[in-house]
Amino acid sequence: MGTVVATHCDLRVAFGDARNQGDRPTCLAFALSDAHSAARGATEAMSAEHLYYHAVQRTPGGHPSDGVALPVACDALKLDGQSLETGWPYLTALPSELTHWKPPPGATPLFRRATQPLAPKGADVIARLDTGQPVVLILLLGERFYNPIDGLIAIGPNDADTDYHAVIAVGHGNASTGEACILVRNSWGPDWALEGYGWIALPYLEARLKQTLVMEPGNTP
Amino acid sequence: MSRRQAILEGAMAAARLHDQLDVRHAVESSGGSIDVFGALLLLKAALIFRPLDGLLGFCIRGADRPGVVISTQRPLRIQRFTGAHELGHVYLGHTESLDGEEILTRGGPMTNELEIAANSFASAFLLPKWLLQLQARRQGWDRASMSNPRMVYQMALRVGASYEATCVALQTHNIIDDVTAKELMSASPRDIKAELLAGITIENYYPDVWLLTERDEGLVLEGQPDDLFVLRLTEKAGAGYLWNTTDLIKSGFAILRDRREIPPTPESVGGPVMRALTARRSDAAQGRFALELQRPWQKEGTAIAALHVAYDLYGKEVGMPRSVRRQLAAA
Repeated sequence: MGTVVATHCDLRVAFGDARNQGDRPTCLAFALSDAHSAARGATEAMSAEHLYYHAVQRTPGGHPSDGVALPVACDALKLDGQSLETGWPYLTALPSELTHWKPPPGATPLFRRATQPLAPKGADVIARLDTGQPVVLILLLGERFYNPIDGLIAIGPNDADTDYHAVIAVGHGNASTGEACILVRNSWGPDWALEGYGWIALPYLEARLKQTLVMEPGNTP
Repeated sequence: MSRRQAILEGAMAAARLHDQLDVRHAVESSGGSIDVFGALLLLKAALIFRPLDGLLGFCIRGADRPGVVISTQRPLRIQRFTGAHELGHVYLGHTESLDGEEILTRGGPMTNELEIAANSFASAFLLPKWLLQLQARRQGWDRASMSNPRMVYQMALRVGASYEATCVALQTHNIIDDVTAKELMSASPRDIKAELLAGITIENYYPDVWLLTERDEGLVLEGQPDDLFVLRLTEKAGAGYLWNTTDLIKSGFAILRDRREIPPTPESVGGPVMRALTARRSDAAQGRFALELQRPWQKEGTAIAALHVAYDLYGKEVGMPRSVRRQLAAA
């Protein structure tokens, strides 16, 4: 499959540079935070640390090394909220003493946002993108996702399942073969794919898409 | 000398030799077993491995140095115990001894006090309490873990002793009680191996099955051709980090199975998953392999975790000790 030659929708301008979650299981907090930021119409980053913290607190027996479930993270965003990134900057590693992991006094004000789940279908993702709405995607990744070719991930051999992962759909287009592709914003730093953004061929996406959601309009009080 | 005195003499001599040769320091750095053949060579014994009819080994006191011969007709773990028994004779100053199967029988027909002392020496030299504790600390095992046959089997592999000898040592050192020891002894190593292989069928169950995790970083292991390796490694795939298996394959291992334990629904997004690899190398070989946890699109040197293992899969010794042959080849 060739490279992407025609871009029909590109919402990257609503986001800042791709961020890097490091080796922590915080992809969902990054995806929700960046989608939240875009929904606010602001380029200021939201605190993924803050959202992840609340999601872990809401998880029965939760531990920050384990990741969090989508419904719990959505509840944390809607009910607990998050500060701006400057209020609680992302930690590259957790404190050795976990009791020290809590929001700093300056992590205010809090911004809350409700989310709306969608059917996990490629056509629905494209339809939402065409209305200007980024879509949070939960994918069951395969090994090909880790080594995009010219920024593109497509169905092929050597693609064993690896893990569930959250990204944001921010655009769509067509490959040189004519195949539809979705542009996603990842949280693996700017050296992954095309400065942290990658194209996923629609058949690959549909085979691996598990859950999707968009931000509801307007802040939740 | 009473039987009790002979046992005490052997055990105390083994502890003295550990100190004299700084054995503990060597084992702490390798994470492996005690080098019994190396100890014989350090005591200036002439050591050779040959077929022996009806004997596991013997030692003689030569004009200027002792000589030890060990049978090639038994596996490495029995050779190691026999070597430790002969080392006991040498270190305790016994003149000569011919040793058969009776040295493997715990509390058996042995009545000769010199043999009792040498056997006590062998057990204490190969399986001291501190070695079992060292391995347990490294693996995160506690006293309760040592009632689990699967963990005792892995302990036995790492200390270079048979499963039965390891059970006996755990009991001798009061790490487990008599009832637990009896239950452990009734477990079948074949069943333990089959459980570890989780459905992978093999021609026979003579090879060992090593379970390796991140806790084995830096391990130096002694096995035999066809041994299998089940690697269970925590992978941070949701953060972009995968274990790189390229070096394992380049090292000559065939990967029989490679899978990740992923729940059927995304109960937790982005959390760590268990990567379970089963690998095997069928030829007798020595070498190293390394697995690194890294982001595949990034250059080398960006690993956040690693498992480095040095292996010797030559199995039992034949002829001159391998360590001597390697020294001669390197000279």
